[in-house]
Amino acid sequence: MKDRVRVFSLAVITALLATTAPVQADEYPQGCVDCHKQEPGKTNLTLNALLAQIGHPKLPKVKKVPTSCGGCHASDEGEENQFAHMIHQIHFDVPKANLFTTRFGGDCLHCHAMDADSGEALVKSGPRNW
Amino acid sequence: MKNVLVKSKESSINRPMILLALIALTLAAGALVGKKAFADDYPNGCVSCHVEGTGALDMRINAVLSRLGHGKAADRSKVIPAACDRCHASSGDGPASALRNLIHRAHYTDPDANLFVTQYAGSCLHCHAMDGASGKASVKSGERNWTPIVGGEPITE
Ligand code: HEC
Ligand code: HEC
Ligand code: HEC
Ligand code: HEC
Ligand code: HEC
Ligand code: HEC
Repeated sequence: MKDRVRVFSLAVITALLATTAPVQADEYPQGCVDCHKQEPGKTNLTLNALLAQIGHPKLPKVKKVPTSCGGCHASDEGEENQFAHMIHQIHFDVPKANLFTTRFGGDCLHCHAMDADSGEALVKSGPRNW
Repeated sequence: MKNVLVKSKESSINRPMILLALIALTLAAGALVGKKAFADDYPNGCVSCHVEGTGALDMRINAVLSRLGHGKAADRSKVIPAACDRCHASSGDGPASALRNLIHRAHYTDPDANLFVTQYAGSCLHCHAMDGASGKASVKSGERNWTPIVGGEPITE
């Protein structure tokens, strides 16, 4: 399955390129779902669709992304397949070829937010868009 | 620029060509951004940036903490910030609070005035490192760049 995650179709790449604008203010206030979305007439980039392509179990109970992914995936210390590591790896492995780094600048703040008053680093989230 | 090109309907250049050119431009811009993001000016994190410097203000961690009225015991921490865990355990169970919120706050509160944001672009990667192959995010560290003084004597251990 791992290998299939790495395979990202040309159609998806083109669609992602076409949907991006220069980085300035927070273009992804809700994190995952603001980047992984479906726009009319374009390839469906929702996580639901992308994960289905790699044979992922269906996601009926996911209401908030990525919060509800935690129903099955954990980021506990010592855990073999930590969710954080899996998601980081998908977006940062082979930086020279990875679209998230080459095309989207590889910014931590696309997914994270910093609460400047408390100093708490958060993961942005939003309601599922499928 | 994108808007100017796309809006001029009378343009003799055909649309697919404009699109191709735009994609090429965005790719080129992306490559630049990518390159910048991956050069590391602060390979050892805190101590690569907090140096004695030539200005009036000594910015080494021991000096900064001293100005905050922090206890001298911190000076004996050898590897920064890992050794600060002796009191600032990340579990929150130590005698002092976990370092993450203290350190994040110091570098991000009041973003319009905070020098870390205004002068250093506020990048997470100045302190953190990302190992893309494993997906593990870590905090960079390095040996203290000062000699602690205990009872008037410099100590080397
Ligand atoms: C700013 C855009 C952006 C954001 C935000 C983002 N991603 Fe991605 N994501 C990408 C790109 C680009 C890729 C393709 C990476 C590559 O080149 O392999 C990707 C790939 C993926 C894949 C693999 C899909 C496949 O078909 O193999 C998953 C799963 C994924 N992202 C989940 C997430 C989750 C979960 C979040 C939020 C925590 C998130 N993404 C946030 C841009 C983004
Ligand atoms: C109903 C349980 C369930 C939910 C909810 C769920 N997953 Fe999964 N996921 C699995 C299982 C089972 C696997 C396959 C076993 C494994 O690799 O851990 C998997 C595998 C994956 C993989 C592939 C890992 C690899 O490299 O092989 C990705 C990426 C992934 N999930 C992302 C997500 C995201 C993003 C969400 C939330 C939108 C999510 N999952 C929600 C059960 C779930
Ligand atoms: C594509 C989305 C995404 C990007 C980009 C991203 N993260 Fe994360 N990060 C996550 C998710 C999801 C978690 C898991 C949160 C959870 O399980 O509660 C996480 C967890 C973490 C953690 C805590 C867990 C651990 O591994 O220790 C750290 C630290 C972290 N991220 C740092 C970073 C840094 C630094 C960057 C930029 C180099 C970054 N992240 C970029 C999605 C992302
Ligand atoms: C790239 C440069 C840079 C790095 C790396 C860096 N700092 Fe700083 N730090 C600054 C600057 C600039 C300030 C002053 C911020 C302000 O108040 O305007 C500062 C302020 C501080 C302060 C004083 C806060 C206060 O309230 O006056 C402490 C303590 C501190 N840093 C500790 C650390 C530690 C520990 C690390 C590593 C985990 C670290 N710094 C990494 C640039 C850096
Ligand atoms: C001997 C114990 C001890 C050691 C070692 C230690 N600290 Fe502290 N530190 C404290 C205590 C106690 C406080 C005040 C209570 C609190 O904030 O939890 C404190 C507070 C702080 C504060 C907040 C100061 C303020 O006024 O806002 C910072 C920043 C800090 N420590 C950084 C560090 C760094 C960086 C190191 C490692 C170089 C370090 N400390 C090592 C005990 C220690
Ligand atoms: C000035 C240094 C510095 C900067 C800049 C910085 N961090 Fe951190 N971060 C730390 C330290 C120190 C820790 C505590 C590590 C520990 O306790 O082991 C930490 C911990 C974390 C954690 C783990 C929190 C947890 O609950 O496990 C996350 C997530 C995180 N940082 C995200 C970020 C993100 C996102 C950014 C950029 C917006 C960022 N950090 C910028 C120093 C920094």
